[in-house]
Amino acid sequence: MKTVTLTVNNRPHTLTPSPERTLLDVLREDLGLTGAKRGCDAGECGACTVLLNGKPVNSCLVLAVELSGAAVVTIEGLGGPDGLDRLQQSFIDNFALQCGYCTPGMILMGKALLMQNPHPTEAEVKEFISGNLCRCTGYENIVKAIMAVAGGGEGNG
Amino acid sequence: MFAYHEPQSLAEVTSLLTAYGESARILAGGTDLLVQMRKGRQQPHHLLNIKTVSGLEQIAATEDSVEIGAAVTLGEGERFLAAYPEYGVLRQAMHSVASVQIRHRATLAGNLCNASPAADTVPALVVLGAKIKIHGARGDRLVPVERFITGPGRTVLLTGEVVSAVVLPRPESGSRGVYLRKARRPSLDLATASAAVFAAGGAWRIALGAVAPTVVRVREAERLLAREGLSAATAAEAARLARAEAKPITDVRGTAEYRRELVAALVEQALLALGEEGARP
Repeated sequence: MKTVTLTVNNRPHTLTPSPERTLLDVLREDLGLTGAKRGCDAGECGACTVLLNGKPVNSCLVLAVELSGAAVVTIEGLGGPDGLDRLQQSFIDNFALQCGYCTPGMILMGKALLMQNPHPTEAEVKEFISGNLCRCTGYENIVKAIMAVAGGGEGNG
Repeated sequence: MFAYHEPQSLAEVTSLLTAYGESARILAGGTDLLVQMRKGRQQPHHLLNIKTVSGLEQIAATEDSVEIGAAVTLGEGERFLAAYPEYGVLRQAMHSVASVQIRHRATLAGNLCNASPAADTVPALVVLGAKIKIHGARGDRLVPVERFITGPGRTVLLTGEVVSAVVLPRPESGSRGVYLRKARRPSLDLATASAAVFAAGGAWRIALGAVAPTVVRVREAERLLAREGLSAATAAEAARLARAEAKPITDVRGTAEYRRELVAALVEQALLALGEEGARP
């Protein structure tokens, strides 16, 4: 079996996953990082979104054996000793979660968008997160929370 | 359960494909393959990860062509093509696929090889006159994209062959295209119908997606536009010809009747959008 060395939230890991196991399986079952959620298991809901080499992907559609040298960031990798990431705090301030199942994916999509485009329009936010489903249908506050950090000002309704 | 391989060269891919035959599948982005495996529709015993083949992750632009390697993701392709407005039709089609997350994994070559009648990139590649570069035991061959897909899920690939790149010819300057699609929701859903139109120096190409087993050209409309130019009247007539050319099915995404109306409207809108861009040849 192939041995894979990667970093998850800046910590190095060496794994020997069987080929059919996904990044999501490894995060949740081997590394105890249960922030990424298993929703549809088909790349349609975005609940398993993580950042892979800085880009958001569905971790249910990435085989763990493919990840030699990869840098993965999960929701557990945001924030630090000083507290929450600004976007995490904004989700709280804007009541941008109900059941919370989609929240890790939504926040990581917001981070990914703001990294490549610090001042997105509301339409750009909506398009960017369109691969993430919120079954509570709380989209309005999710968009507000991201816009508030984007410095749009429209987010504080 | 399957064995996982990391070939380092196209020759190695071909020898593995030849050795394992139907029990092997190419793994590029995996966004279709892994889902199909999970649903039991495909049960390969060997997965060959072509992302480890050196060179396939590259895009090479020369005077004659832009060659997009088989491991290039839709997201990378989109970003690269931003500097080439003449390929806007393909960029729009790439951006239409699924979601941001999927586009960071899924490849252009994979969208072709999956051979879905609703694949967004195929009508755009058809109007651009793209060719598919195929590597096999006897060397490379180039196949026009229109002949590459032979039916739903079927391509001309023979045992041992692998797509190495998608080759876009360089159209003359001022060429412009538009891709429009309609789905039940803008993201993630497959197109109910789609249309790509392209104008290059007085010549026109129109291709329809998701309204037949493979992408359909509307040649009569192409000749009409070449003869009479683009106007509201010729756009409406092209739409009528597209409706007649479509041979759609009824499924969960729409009825055959609806698809015919939809594809006609998409063709007309795409042509009028091109006209507004001032791209009339």
